[in-house]
Amino acid sequence: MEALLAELRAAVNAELVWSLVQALLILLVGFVLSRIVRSRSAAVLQRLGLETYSGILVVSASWLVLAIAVAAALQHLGFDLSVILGAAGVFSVAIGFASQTSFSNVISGLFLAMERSFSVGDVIKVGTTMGEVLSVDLLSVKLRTFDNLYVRIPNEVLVKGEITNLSRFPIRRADFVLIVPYGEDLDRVRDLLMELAMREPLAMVEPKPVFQILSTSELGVQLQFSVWAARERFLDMKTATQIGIREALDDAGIAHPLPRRVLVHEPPPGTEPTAG
Amino acid sequence: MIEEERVAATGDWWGDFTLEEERSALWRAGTLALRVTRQQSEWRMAWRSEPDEAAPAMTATVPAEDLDDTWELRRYGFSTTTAVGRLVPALSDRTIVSRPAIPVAVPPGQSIDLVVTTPLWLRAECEGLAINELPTLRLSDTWFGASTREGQLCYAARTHLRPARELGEVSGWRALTTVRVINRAADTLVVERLALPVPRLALYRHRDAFWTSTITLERPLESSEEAQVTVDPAPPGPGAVRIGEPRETADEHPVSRVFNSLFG
Repeated sequence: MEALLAELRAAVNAELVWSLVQALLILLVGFVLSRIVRSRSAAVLQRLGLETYSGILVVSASWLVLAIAVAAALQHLGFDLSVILGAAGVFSVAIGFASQTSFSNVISGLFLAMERSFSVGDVIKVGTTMGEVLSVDLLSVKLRTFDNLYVRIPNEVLVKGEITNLSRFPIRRADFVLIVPYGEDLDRVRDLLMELAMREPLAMVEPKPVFQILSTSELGVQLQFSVWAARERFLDMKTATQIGIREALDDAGIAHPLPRRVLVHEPPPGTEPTAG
Repeated sequence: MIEEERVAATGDWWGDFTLEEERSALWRAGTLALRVTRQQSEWRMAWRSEPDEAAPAMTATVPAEDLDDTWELRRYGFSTTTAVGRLVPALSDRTIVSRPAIPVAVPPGQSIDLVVTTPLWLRAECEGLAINELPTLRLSDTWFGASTREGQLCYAARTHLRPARELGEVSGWRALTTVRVINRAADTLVVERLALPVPRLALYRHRDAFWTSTITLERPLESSEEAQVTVDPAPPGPGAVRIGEPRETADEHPVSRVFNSLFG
């Protein structure tokens, strides 16, 4: 009887050891697969033009593979996954409450990856922050501003708010708003500005510059002169044209109207105005 | 024979030039003023844009001197410099969009040879290396494409689209391109602007002028078909000497696309 029990125990132990070995093998395969996903998916994402978001996508994919391997290994050992998942559910609710913001950022990062609104190297504006995108990570996007500050913006903020990508299109338009005094010949002003744009090599001939009257104010007529430039030369064009406008208007004797106040001194009633 | 005497004798302002140490050679072409200076271990290039256009010429060699800040200056260091440099004409690095002063109409079934001129670039080569390139006329940027999202960055130029037979005197700092326009469609083709894919053309010296490869533009009978654009690999005329290779390799499709917009 004892011998039979010992034999039975040995058989059970052998089966358990064998199951453990198999579970470990499953884990090992899962781990290797996860490493492969991590190393190879970067190249695949680059081919798909998603390299900017590879940080989020690669980590998510490799974790998913690893999680499936762990679940398969546990199931192989005879664990009831539904019980484990139930327990995990309760646990994850607790964790979820504690790390709600982080999960929101991860999910927002996946939405950003799907939308592809910007890439690493693009210049974007989020709220009042403008800068070059350094990286798009699991929880946040890192920017370098033009005054060389490092700014971290949570993915959630980017999904919820407005993003302006200044690098998406190859050409950009600069709008110059100026005020000319009432009585000035607006046709003459338009000709001056158009001639200026023709002279400035960085200002594009086409799309043509646009001259329009915006409004009238107490100072004079408010105009907008819009000129296009290649994205890379935008700032150079903007500066050169701004200086050119000032010089052209000065040379033509068109003054920039300044706020004027007329002070009228009236003597108190009953007194005679004094001379001098 | 000093350098300017050689230039005066041959009339060639381009090609090899010799320059002693601490001396500068001066060129004018179009609105470009160029000054190349040789020193013991460096070449210096200075350039600026002049208000007036001038025929291309090597004007003088003079002692090296300090220049005022109207010149843009660049220095190129070498372990040692030799006396011989080279200045060669080249074609633009971007497509040039030409707007004729008066649009040219080509009636149905007709073909016409038009000549378009484009400014040359000058490439300086020292110690066997191309060190700098400058346009003889600074052209404005322009955009050529269906929308502000898709298209290509080009240079803009105004031109006289002259029939080949009426070609008058041409500035020596410009290259001539013959564009053969064939209109097989049932309606008149009006050439209001022409995007010349200059970087795909070779440069030739022919009849004392600079010529490029000839371009043929054929508008098909059916408006739904793409225009056929071909760059003729043959020289523009007998005796033409090839002096510059295309900057970009021939690729029919993008050229066709560029010219398609012409009909839009």
